[in-house]
Amino acid sequence: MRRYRAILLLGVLGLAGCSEGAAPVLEGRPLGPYQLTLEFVPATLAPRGQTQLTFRLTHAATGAAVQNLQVIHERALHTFIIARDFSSFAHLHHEDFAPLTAHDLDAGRFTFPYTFPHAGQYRIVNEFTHRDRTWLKQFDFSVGEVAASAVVNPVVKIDLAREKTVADYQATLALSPPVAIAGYETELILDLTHEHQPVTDLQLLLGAEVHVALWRIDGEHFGHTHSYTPQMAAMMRAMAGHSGTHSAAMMLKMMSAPAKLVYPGPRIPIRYTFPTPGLYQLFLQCAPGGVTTVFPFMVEVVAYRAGLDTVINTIVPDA
Amino acid sequence: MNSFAGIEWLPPAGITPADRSYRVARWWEEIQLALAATPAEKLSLSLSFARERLAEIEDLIRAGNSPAAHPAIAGYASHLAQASTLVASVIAVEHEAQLLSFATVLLEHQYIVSTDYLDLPRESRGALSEIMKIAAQHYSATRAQLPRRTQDSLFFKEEEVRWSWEQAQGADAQGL
Repeated sequence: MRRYRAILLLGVLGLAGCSEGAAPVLEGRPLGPYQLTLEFVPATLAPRGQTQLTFRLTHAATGAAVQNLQVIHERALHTFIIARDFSSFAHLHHEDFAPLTAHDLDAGRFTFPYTFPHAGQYRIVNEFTHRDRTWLKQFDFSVGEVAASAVVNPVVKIDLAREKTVADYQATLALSPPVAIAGYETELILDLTHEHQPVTDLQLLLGAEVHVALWRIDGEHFGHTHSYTPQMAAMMRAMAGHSGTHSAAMMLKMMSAPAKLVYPGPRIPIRYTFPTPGLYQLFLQCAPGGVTTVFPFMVEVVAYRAGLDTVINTIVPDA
Repeated sequence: MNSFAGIEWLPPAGITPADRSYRVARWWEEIQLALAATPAEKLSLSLSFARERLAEIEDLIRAGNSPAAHPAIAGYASHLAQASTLVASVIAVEHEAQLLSFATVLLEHQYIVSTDYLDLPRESRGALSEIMKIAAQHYSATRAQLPRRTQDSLFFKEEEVRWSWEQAQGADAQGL
C-alpha cells in the first residue's frame, strides 16, 4: 500500500512538474518485461475538456515496440479509466475511434480522446496479451485542482443497493452464495428490465454479454471478467479434471474466438473469485438493445469462517 | 484472465556476484536480518532478498555469465529456507495466512522466472531450472500444510505456472 501511495504521489508530482512544458509521459506500473507509457495532450489535465491519450508499448529490455499483440475480446489494448472515488468509469480502446493501422501496430502505439468528467484523482488500468500472457499496467494521476488529502485518501461513497436504474433500464444483482467469500467463487447474476419488462434483446459487447471491471475500494485488486457461459463451465470442468489442457491457453482461445450470444437476457451469470475481504466496486457493462450501458454495484466480501454457505446455486445451463 | 497479470516484477539487479563488492553487499544484508526486530520483519527481508537474488541470477544469465550466478542461486535457496522456517514459527492464529502468502510468493517467483526464461540466452538460461526446482520444492511443502479449501484457491495460479514453465521447456525443445 505504501508503495502505491508513493507511486501515486510521484505521478501527481511528475505531472505538476511538467504542466508548463512538454507533454508529461507517465510510465505504467508495475514494471516488468514490458514498458507502457502514457502521454497526455494537452499536457495540463483539466476536467470537461477533451484530452488525447497516447499509449506506447515497448519491450523494457530493448525499447523495441511490442509486435503481434493478441486480440482478446475484439481489441488489442483494453483501457479502463476510473475516478478514484469510483464516480466515473470508462472502458475504451483505440479501435473504438479509428482503425489500428499497420503503422500504429508497428510502433506499439494506441491513441484516443477522453474527457475527464470532473477534477479529481484518476486511475487508468491497461490490459494486453502477448505470447499468451496477459499483463496489467496502471497509471495514477490527478485532473484539475485536487486537495492533497484527496490524492492520498479519495472519499468513496458506499452504496450497497442491489437495484440500480440507469437510463430506462433497471438492474438487480444477486449473489450465490448470498454472501461473497474471499477465495471462493461467487456467481453474480445480473437481472435486467426495461420499463419493467424483462430485457430479451441483449447484444454482444466486445464478444461478451457482460464485461465486469472491479476494484476493491482502496483501488487494489483490479479484476476483469465476463458472462459465464456453458462453454466456460465445460472448460472449468476439464481443467479441474486435469485433462491435459492448459487454462491460460484455453481461456485465451475462447476469448479470441468469434463470440456467440448465449444470454439474450434478462438474467446473465458472471463468476468471480474475490481475492481478499473488503468492499469492492463493480462496473457491469452490457448492451441491452445494442446500447452500451454501465451499471455500478458495490459488493461486500467477507473472510471465510465456519458455517458460511459456500455452495453456488447456478443458473448456468449444464454447469 | 491471468492470475499474475498485475504482479510486481523483479527489481533491478544492482550488485551481482560478478562485482567485487558483492560480498560486502551480502554481508550488509546479513546485518539487516540480524537486526530485524520481529520474525515478520525478518520474513519480509528474506523474501525481498530472495527477489534480489533472482534479479542477479537473471542479469548474469542475460550477460552470458551463468557460472557466476552460483552464489546467487545458493543465496536464493538459503533465503527461501529461512523464510520457510520463519513461516513455520509464526503463531497459530496467523499461520494459515502466512502460509498462503508464502505459497503465493513462491508461485510468483516461478511465474516470473518461467516468463523471463524465453527472453534469456538459450545457451545460459538452463541455470534457471535449478531456481524452478528450489521454488517448487518449497511450494509443495508449504501447500501441503494448507487446508484443502485454501489449496483449491491456488488452482489457477498453479495452472499458470505449470503452463508457463511448459512453454519455456517447449522453447528449449524447439531450439527457440
